[in-house]
Amino acid sequence: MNLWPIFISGLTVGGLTCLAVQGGLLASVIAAREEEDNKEEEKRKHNLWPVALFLTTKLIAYTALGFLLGSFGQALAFTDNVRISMQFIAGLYMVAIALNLLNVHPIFRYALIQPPRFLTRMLKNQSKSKDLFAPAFLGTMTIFIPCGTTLAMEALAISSGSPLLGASIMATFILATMPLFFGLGFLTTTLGDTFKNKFYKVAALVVLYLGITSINGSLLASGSPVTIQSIADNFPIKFAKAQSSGNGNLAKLNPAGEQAVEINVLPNGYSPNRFTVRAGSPVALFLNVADKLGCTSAFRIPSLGISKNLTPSFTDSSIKFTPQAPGSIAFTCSMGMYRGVIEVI
Amino acid sequence: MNIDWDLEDLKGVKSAKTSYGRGECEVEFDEEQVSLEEVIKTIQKTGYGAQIKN
Repeated sequence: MNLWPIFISGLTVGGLTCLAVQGGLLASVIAAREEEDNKEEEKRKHNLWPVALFLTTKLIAYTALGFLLGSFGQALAFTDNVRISMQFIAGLYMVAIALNLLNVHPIFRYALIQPPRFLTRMLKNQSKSKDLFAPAFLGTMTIFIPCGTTLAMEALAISSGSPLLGASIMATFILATMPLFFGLGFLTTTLGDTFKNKFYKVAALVVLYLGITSINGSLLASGSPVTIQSIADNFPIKFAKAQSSGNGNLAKLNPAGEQAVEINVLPNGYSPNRFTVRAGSPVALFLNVADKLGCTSAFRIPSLGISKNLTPSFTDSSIKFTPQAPGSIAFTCSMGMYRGVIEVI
Repeated sequence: MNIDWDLEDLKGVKSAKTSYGRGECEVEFDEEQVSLEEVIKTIQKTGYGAQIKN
């Protein structure tokens, strides 16, 4: 999974949606501590300590949350179909959040899950606490504060279906939001409303992109005829197909008389990913499997119901089929992230 | 959430309950200690527009 869009969104706008609530809490817990310092006549400027404490516990809490969400996703997804549906729903949820950020319609406000009253009360009390470790507790509790982009990342963590991936998604995002948090004071004074609105729009676009990618991935993985790629393919104006590599030439016959299609299975995709075969004649797939794999290890040909979980470094030549009619047979990884096509003529 | 916190900080406000989904806020306050105007102004300061429902 590509973590860069997650990092970039956290760096630029992810922190902003949470700034309003969390920044206020952090400021008041620092103020509560300063009050205590004044009483003890210690005027040491150590604002850095509560902020650092807050951010550290926040990162740990969110990483743990990501781990839990990924495990939850993994537990739910015991079959491919459930996992694909989960990915689809997570994508829809992210789109709803993006639409709320764009203020498209008030109904999308319901996408932001509000925490129960006892939690918000705890948060408020903690922000007024003079306890030395109040910032730490506060940081941990931020996982209960709903902000648009963070919730979208949490949906992504669930649909990743892996505790490690879920944890990395959340950790990457929260880490990326930290520079913005450090610049807290500067931002709250200089950020005008129109500037803030523009930021929210950018945040919305990033979340929209992630949501649509998720939805499209699930459509690809389920073998749906309607995907962004198929729409682009059928567009009257042909875009440059930067993604596909491979021959338009007909597959050669192997010694057994089968049409040989050789695919390199790499961590970031299948290469080549475009082949041509003849209908009515058997096809044998030869998969050169790299020693490191990503989603690509879960090789699927949805339209043929073929599903193979590949082992790193072990070549696979078990997949054979005979295409009956002309058309396109798509192959993809289980999450629909990487794909290729076998054209049948 | 922010609205409820800022409102409950006001002297005279007994409770505040905002439903972000419905876009409604229910405030219980003592009119002798704080005026409706101040309640609305506080909500506006938090960053939201406010008007009475009924």
